[in-house]
Amino acid sequence: MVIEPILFSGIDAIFSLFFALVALGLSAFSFRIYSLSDSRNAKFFGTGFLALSISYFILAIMDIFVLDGLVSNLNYLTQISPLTESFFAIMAFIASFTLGLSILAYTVVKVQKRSLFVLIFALSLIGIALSSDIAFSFFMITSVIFVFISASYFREYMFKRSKSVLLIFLAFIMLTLANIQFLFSTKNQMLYLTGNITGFIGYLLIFISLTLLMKNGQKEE
Amino acid sequence: MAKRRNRIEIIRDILEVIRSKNGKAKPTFILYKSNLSHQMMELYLGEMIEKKFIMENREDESKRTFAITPKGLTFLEKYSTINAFMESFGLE
Repeated sequence: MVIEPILFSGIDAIFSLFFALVALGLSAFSFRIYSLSDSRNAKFFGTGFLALSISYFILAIMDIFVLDGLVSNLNYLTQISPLTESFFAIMAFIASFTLGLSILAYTVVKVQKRSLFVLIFALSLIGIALSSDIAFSFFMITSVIFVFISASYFREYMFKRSKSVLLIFLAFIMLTLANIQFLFSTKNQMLYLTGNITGFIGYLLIFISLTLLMKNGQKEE
Repeated sequence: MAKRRNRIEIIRDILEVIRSKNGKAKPTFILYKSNLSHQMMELYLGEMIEKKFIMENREDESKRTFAITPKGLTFLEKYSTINAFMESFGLE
């Protein structure tokens, strides 16, 4: 489903690694906040970004193997045998990415019912798994979840009118746009490239926010 | 109208009240200073004991005091970072 321009081969792995490292950094910081405050939401948030980080690391490895020709760069999921390592890698990517997003969606909803998380995750995974075009369903469903999370941060910003919330809202808007671009990248190769660049901007905004928070923490000490 | 406090802010307020009394305070003092109902105060105190932000001392049935723990003090020291993170990511 996802077709990358030849010139971009290998470079997408660098983007994926960047996404993985920022997500991992945010996860670690979130767990630190959890250790200080015992905030359940901070714990879930950290877990969500940890799952996303794992998915991006898997994606980076897959992007590297595309360069070696071990995995076809055309419609990964329909052109490979279900019993290959590539298939399991892609399934692991889809599962961990969906898990991470489901946890984030559950966290921003602020309803303390674990069954809601189970519902979001199960519906997403079933919708993806039972589709005849898994890649399309994956990007479609995750785009919907991204829109939901972005809308939640928009409401947060409208309520608080804070610059820090605006930064996070803009970050998630970028991530949503990136995901939508991947969804349509079969029609236009360049959307795969622009999707990665848009995602990079999103994670850069998160990285900036995290840096500002850590600077604030250093000032306290 | 005053903004409604979130969970983190209430925990901070209770810890500040206890710290202001040399790290040890009676429930009535906490109730008076924290601007909470008795029921809410007991709920928060219970949670804070469970999470080890404070500890309860009972000399006898009528003499109950709450003391702030090192974890509680660390929470107060790092409060602005905790609050900034929770606010930025909408996790309060």
